[in-house]
Amino acid sequence: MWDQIKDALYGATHRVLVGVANFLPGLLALVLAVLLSSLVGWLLGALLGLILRALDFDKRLQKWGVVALAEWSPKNSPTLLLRKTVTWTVVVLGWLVGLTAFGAGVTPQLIPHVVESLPNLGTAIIVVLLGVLLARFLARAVLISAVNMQIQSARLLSLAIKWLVLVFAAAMALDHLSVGGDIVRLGFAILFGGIVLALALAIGLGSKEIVSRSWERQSQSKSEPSDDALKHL
Amino acid sequence: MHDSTQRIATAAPAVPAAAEIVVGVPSCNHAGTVALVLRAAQAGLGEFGSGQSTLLVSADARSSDGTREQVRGLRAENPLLRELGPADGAAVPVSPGVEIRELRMILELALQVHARACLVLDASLTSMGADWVAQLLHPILADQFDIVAPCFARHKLDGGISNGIVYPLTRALYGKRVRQSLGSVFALSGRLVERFLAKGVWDIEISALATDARAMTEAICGEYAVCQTFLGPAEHAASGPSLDLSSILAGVLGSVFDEMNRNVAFWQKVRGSEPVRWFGTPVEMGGNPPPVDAHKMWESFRLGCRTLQDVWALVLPPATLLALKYLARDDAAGAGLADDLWARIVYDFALGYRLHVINRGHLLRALTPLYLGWLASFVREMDTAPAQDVERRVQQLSMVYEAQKPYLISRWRWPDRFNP
Repeated sequence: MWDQIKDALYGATHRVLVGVANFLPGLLALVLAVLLSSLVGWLLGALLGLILRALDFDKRLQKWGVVALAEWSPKNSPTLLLRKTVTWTVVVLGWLVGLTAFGAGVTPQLIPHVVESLPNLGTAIIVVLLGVLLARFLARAVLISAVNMQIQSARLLSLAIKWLVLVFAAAMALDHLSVGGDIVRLGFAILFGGIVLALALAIGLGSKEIVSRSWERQSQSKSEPSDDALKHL
Repeated sequence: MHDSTQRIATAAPAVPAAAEIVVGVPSCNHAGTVALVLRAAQAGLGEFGSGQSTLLVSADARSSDGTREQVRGLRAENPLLRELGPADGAAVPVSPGVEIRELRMILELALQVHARACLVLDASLTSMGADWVAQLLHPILADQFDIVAPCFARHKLDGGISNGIVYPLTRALYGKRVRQSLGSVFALSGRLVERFLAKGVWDIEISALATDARAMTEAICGEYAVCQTFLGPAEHAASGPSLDLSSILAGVLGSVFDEMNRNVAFWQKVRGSEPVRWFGTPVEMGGNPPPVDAHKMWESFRLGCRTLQDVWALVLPPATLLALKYLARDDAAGAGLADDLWARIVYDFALGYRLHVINRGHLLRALTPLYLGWLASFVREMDTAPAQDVERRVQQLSMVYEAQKPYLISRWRWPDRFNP
């Protein structure tokens, strides 16, 4: 009886030790890959940072009028953004290499899949980024123009434009990644159609008053003083 | 010399080898007014330029409204009138824009004929008098000045952008009290024409509204002799869809801020300001000034304060934003934008323009409600005052701009560190 228990315990310990012995080199390889990739990433990032700083990249971008990139960068520095992008790309690649070395069951299939979907993912990220930049640009342009036209609901208009562009960009990105399939397309169509319908109704119902107010303003403008009478130059 | 001389097609008669005076009218779709301006210039040259070799030139930017036909029609009256413009079929460069390109052609012609003076006129003028030619050219030919700026007669509250921003700002920056420098009318000496062309001053894009601001700035920075002359009112005909206020502000201030960026080394050394010699006598503006609704302007300012704080926060320091918030409150009715606050706002926008904190077009347009706030304060204060008091008030504002210049210099040099 005691011998059987001992054998079982030995067997279990042996299996655990074999498992650990099999597991440890993979883990060590993963840790090494991550550490090495972090080091390489940091070095590459630092090198890129040095080169870009020597080229006065941030100021050059300003001169070329690429303001949006600076606005989106940490501490308003596109150099820092590029540096971090390079560093983190190398770290992520190191993780993937480490996972392959680790030999986890899913990683051998995961890596080709990830590599295959990288171009699509990259395109989707670019679409979202461009969408965000465009949304911010248009929202600000609409806000300033609406205030200058003395439209009281300028902020609302600006927000509407911003979210419309963001939703449009997100739908495009998801469609590109084939995530959600028809649901995204349908959802976007319903949302977009809903907004257009709501606007059409709002304008349609409100236009009567607006037109009459506009006529009133036109008839009053002949007698009432206005700042337009001033020559600003 | 720039290669555009080769593109110039000069309609007969041929350009003489030398002319003492060149009068040029750059135009683009000014069919309704170009003939008026050319006739007035021709009459003025007849009175003033008799005995001197003169050249009257029209430089058209391929107008599509019949401007060229109008000019050709005038050649029957004045066979000595020349036309400049891109030769048919020649490629028209995109930059600099329309009218600036034509202005450059006129200057190139003036250089080519070794002119002692070159007068540039605005083709959209409907009120030009023949005497303007003499008034603008005389200081150059008789008194050896290099540039003559016109000071047009206007109603006391007109010229808000000039009174509230451009004049005080340029005076504080460059140290010369040139009262009015917005428009497209000025006279230049031959040596200044040469300097402009050698330096490529007109190769850089500029708003057509601020051509003489650039000419004046370049002349002051080059330490040329500048003066100004009183002229009658300048009425303009619209040659296209009229610009809204924010577009006018963006056009003018963009050019003024560009000049600021190009001449940093000069203006940072200037302290105070000195008067500039006047010619002629001030012309009284006839008729009653149009009534102005300051309340509407103030409401635009308040709307801006409620909605544009996020945009302004990118440019203005917290203390300024707080002061603006206070002004926009309901119970602050009757208060106005203080001169020092306004001067600092303009300086902060100039700095924001230099640093590209946001898209420059957005930045300049975001100034519109603030400008309307200042204008409303100015109109409320000066509505019933006589014209002399208004002028005194503008001079007082300019002194404040000068007093606040150290603030601009500090922020310009250390934009991150000096942020009160």
